[in-house]
Amino acid sequence: MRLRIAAAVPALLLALTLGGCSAFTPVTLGDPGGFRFWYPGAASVQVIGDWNAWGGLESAGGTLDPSCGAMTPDDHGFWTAEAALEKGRYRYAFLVDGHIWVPDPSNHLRAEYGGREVSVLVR
Amino acid sequence: MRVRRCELVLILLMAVASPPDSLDPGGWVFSQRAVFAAEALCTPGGDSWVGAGDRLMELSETLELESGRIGASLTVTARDADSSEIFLRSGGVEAGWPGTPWIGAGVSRSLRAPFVPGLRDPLIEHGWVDIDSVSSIHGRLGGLLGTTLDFTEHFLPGADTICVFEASSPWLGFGSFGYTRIWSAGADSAFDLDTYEARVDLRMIEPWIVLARSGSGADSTALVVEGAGYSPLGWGGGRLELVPVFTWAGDSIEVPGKAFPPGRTTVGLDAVVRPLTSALSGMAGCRYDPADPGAARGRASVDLVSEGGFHHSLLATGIGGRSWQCSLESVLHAGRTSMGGGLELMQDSVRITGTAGYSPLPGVHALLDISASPEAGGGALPQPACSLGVAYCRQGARALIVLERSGGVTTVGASLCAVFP
Repeated sequence: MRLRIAAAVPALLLALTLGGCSAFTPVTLGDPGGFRFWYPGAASVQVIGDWNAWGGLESAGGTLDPSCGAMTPDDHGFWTAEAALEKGRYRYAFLVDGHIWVPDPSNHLRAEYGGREVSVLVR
Repeated sequence: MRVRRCELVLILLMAVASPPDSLDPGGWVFSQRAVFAAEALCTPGGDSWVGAGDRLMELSETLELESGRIGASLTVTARDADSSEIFLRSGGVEAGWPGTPWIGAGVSRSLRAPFVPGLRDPLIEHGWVDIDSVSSIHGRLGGLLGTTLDFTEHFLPGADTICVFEASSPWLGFGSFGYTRIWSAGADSAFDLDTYEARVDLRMIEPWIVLARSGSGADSTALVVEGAGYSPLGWGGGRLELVPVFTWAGDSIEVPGKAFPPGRTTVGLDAVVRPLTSALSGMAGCRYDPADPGAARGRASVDLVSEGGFHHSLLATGIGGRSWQCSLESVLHAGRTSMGGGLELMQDSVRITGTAGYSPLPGVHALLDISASPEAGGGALPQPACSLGVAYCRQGARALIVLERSGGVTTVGASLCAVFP
């Protein structure tokens, strides 16, 4: 029974998406430069990863710096940030309100950091 | 050195009242920065509200001095937890040859710890050694086409040392190459790991290769190959990218990280939907070990942000025919509020989740998460769990209160952190 539900849910969502329901019609994005994350109403969002010592968690003392990787909100609920990174691979995640870890919903290449699922950026 | 809490507050006030964060007298740039953090965790109803190990208050002051060729940094921390102390957290001096970033040397304490990235999982992970205990010396040499040679020797407690030698090229237009050797000698551990990394741009696809050896012989060798960037299909809103993956590790490979499980061979393929102008993304991937077909793994996930303000996320994973898991969550963001729910299905359990958020002002956010398992405990106990977090963030300062209840136990956590200036 549970297996049937698990299979039926994606099929229903696909049908609603193709049917043009606004609740399932993807919103149109603007310029894709840098990091972008949709979370309206959050008090703060940071992008932390291998390049910035995970916001300070991997630097001496392990204190999270609230200004490290801080993202800027716009009027549509998107948070954006730029990071000048050299070519390479980096693990990263978004930190909402200083305590909610979220892998990048727009990048489904995943790895692990500290027991948490995070995203992998290929640059 | 013991300090009282009032002295910590005094230090904080001095940091706030300090002169501008950056001065530039005669080509030398001086800057200072302070980070204050305080946190406490308690369990109401216990013997005491806050135990000695459940609270922390500290202030770190960092001073930096830079010129064109010399950089110095010093961080002093005052901490009040189970004991009060003031100590040198990190510090170092680095000098570079004038006009080039490729030649230099330095000495430091707690400024860096061994970390070797891999492709998905790192070869040497952060946190492998306690960075607070690390002192190091390092030298850097290079210049030919931007190639750099780095040597760092880390000194750990107990007379252990970890040496890291890295040779890496910059992006040469068609590829980049790197070599890292990391070895340890001491009473507690001894290992020797060589890694070679190459990335080549073949226009259609970018193969990435990492070869690791922890000794002589094939059994001590591991290889991971991954192709990135191959996109057979594109449309206005995004493109499909196929990422083939191959991992092989000998039985005797010794790598501190989880990148190479000894004795495992894995082939796999990830199909990734990359969004460009449409907020729809996802992936489907599989991993197969010819020696253990029953451990084949599959994974599919989709994220969609809709015009109606919904964020839908779907995740399904399975390991052979043994176990599977599927979760679906939809959250509607409307104005200052958000609410949503989800369903997590496993082969032997169901869990229902709900979430609600409210943001009365910019920089203020409250989020309530609840969940319950109707079938847990033989169908009798729903095992509810909930958490409520309230965050306030403004101009480099953040205050957070989190209340959690799970398994009949309630915990309250509070934290405050701020950066000056």
